[in-house]
Amino acid sequence: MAMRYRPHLVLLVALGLILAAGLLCLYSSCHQKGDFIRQDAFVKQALWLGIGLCGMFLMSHLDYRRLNFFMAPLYLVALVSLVFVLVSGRIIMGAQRWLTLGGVSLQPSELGKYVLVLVLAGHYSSKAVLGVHADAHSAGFIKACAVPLGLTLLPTLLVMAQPDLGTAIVYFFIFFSCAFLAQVRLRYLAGLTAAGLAGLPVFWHFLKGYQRLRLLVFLDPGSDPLGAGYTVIQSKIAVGSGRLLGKGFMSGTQGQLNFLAERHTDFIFSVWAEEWGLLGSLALLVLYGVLIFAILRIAETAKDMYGRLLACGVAAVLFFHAAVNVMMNMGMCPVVGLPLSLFSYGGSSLVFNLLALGVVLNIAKQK
Amino acid sequence: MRLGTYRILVLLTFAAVALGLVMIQGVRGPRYQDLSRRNAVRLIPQEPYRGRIYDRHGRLMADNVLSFDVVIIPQELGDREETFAHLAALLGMTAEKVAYAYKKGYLNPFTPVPIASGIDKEKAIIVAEQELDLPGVAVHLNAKRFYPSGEVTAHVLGYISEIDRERITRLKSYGYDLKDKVGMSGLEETLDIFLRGEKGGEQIEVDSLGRKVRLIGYRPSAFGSDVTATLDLELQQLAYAAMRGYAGAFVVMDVKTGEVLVLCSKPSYDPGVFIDRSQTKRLNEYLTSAGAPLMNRATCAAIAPGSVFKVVTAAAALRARGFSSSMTYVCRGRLRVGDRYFQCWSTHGPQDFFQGVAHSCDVYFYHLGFRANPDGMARTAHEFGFGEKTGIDLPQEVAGFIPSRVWKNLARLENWYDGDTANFAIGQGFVQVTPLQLARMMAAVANGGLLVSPRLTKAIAGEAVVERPAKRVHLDKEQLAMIRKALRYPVSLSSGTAHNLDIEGLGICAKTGTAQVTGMPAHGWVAGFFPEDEPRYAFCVFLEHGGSSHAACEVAREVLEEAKKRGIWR
Repeated sequence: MAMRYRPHLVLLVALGLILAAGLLCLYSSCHQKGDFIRQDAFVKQALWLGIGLCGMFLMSHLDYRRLNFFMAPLYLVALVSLVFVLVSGRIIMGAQRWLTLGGVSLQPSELGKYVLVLVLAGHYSSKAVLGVHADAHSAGFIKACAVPLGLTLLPTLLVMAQPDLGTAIVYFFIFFSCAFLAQVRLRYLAGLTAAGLAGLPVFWHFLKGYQRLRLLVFLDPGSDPLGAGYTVIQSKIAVGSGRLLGKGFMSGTQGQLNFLAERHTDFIFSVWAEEWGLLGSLALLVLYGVLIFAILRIAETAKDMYGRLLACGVAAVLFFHAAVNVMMNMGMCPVVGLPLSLFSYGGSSLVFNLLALGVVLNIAKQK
Repeated sequence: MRLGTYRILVLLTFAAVALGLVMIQGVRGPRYQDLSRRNAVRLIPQEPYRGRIYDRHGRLMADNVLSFDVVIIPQELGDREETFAHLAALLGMTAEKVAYAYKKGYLNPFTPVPIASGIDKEKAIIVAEQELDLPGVAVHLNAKRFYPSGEVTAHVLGYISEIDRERITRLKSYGYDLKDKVGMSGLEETLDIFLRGEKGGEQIEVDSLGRKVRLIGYRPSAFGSDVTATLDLELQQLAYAAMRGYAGAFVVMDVKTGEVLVLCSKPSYDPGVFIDRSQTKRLNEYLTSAGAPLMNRATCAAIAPGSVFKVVTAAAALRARGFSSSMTYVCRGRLRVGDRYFQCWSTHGPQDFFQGVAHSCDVYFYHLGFRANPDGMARTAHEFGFGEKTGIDLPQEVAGFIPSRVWKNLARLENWYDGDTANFAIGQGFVQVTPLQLARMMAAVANGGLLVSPRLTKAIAGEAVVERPAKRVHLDKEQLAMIRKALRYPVSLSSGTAHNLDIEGLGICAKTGTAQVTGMPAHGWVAGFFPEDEPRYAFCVFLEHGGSSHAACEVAREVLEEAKKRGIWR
């Protein structure tokens, strides 16, 4: 009997491997010179992983179409919490991103990513937009672009005010992915892109000093080798020095001797690449590819437009994070502060990603 | 369906990332690996134990002694102000001075910063006892160069000091590094490559702040080779003492091997001043003093030899055609050369070769100079090693100068006059020689015409240093025997100029010299060899502005006589 391609199983296997590798790598990066210096972080992450897996299980048993009812309230919660974080959020690493609720720090911008996916999927699958052709191709500019863009811009502007450039770009990417896959006319999207490019100089004007510096440093890391460029240079050295087979678990000198900044969050991939080499980093990349393709396959076989767009949105979020984070670690793109989904330390991100994957599993179940 | 397009986008992006990974980790991996190693690995050099220097009888002349140094290891330093104040109180310094020394000496978190070096043993024990209350402070035992005979051997041994810019450029390819201690003069410099040994060190891993994490490797340093010099320390001390307040030089060498037994230059300096940098005031005095104590007068003072040079004139005359030792010239106290009179220091009447040498009669030697002519004298002088470096194993030496007709025509645009020949013949005018060159000339006369190379190194690490082949002077045995015989008269005759050197049993042959200096007391010279029958030692004494050759003879007599009493000559 030929094995049937069951994407949800593939998804679970890839997910399991990524999560296991992530914990292993986090364990290493919480050490310094052989001391377990961030034991609390490792334990916390393990706890969050447990909570996230429970959440994923619950979500996989909740009919995804019910989410449509929670869409509006969730969007409001996300917007309010983003506003609230601006007003009262704790300042971590120079940016206000966390909200403390009963001793637990939450990152509303992580919630915002998947709420935006929900909102856009709901919008593009509503009867008003779909019309007779069952897709958004025939919809006018207002319905197909202006309204969803407005829905995207609201949280985007709030996130940019934090300031969190990376997440803002993620929001835009979610919008374009959903609009593109909902068959919105290409000329609308092209028009929006052109308008966006024209607005870049204005955008530059609104960037904070350190954000500009990061972009400039990306163009020439040597311009500030001891300041902003240091992070990129050291992470490139870490990745490159892993060579083919890596330096071995817990033996990366760049990571263990504290040359890497942010090595348990945004630069955790450097630790992985240094200790496991090209083989390890390619394997991880392949796992992300398999995961994303499994989700896209689930989207393809979804029984309705809503499920299809939801799954695509989740795939878009995971893809964008993985691609940008790894390229950031290699100095292939600017340092924008995006974690590696399912791998980096960070409770909010992990839990929301797992919840979203639970939704995807439910979509797979209901085809 | 646009999903297909989207898949291609994902695939292409991941392919690009994969390609990037292959580039960074695969193709450029070795380079990044090297960078990561350099990030994390540092070397702490460990100074080797420098070879010792002995005299020919095994007496120690350069040694290493233990020095108690108080250091601070920055990465272990606790509360700065408190530690500085506490340490300052123990050392009897001010806290500001400790802070200044720390700031000045700081290199990186793991290299100890020297705060005080060479402190008393008692103080060192007190500090060591309180190390627990002084986090980061430690007492280190280091080897310090020590010269037991100090000023007596300063010019022979030289001293060591931190490498300078000129030497680091010259010696970098021989494994010398910044901050290395190297020999700066004397044998310490010439033999540095043997004496220095090989640096060892610790290879350590450091973190991003440069703090030591762990030891990766350790290589012990290798001892430098011990060196035996040709010097006779006892004799050197006698010579140094006999020179008293004079400025000048005293050289004694073995006529057959060229081994230098005494090489003494006055005024001298204390080489310890260069080791202990706290004595900057004395160091400045040495550098600025008009007496130039750092200069080795035995090899670096080029002075008119006066009548000692008459040995060369005599040798040149003996080679000249139609000259016979029995020919006499009459000294009337002066000789007319061209349109002026050249004086003799006395009126000697008729003089033959032996009388002329014995009395050092200038008029007799004017005549010999004309017989030999300036070209003959210059050629003979060059054969005796004048006008070129002797090649002694010391870093600084001058060549001296022997004039010639061509030189005068070209460099001075003047003709060579007979007056120049007359001056040349008695070692005045343009001639310049070093005390070492005169001693070597005497050695060549004494040993039968071999121009030996003077040297100070007898053995390195127990292995004898090979003698360099000696050139031969173009004089036959009879001529040399005649000069030797003549050189006995200044000592043996009561009217001889070096009669006070007539020491019972030594059979000294010598020639004196006085080099006139306008407006200043004359330089005094005496050079010779002994014993007469089978010469073994050549010597030369030079007294800068010593007034006359008589004082030089007195100095020489004092040393040679005392050495005979002690049985040094054997």
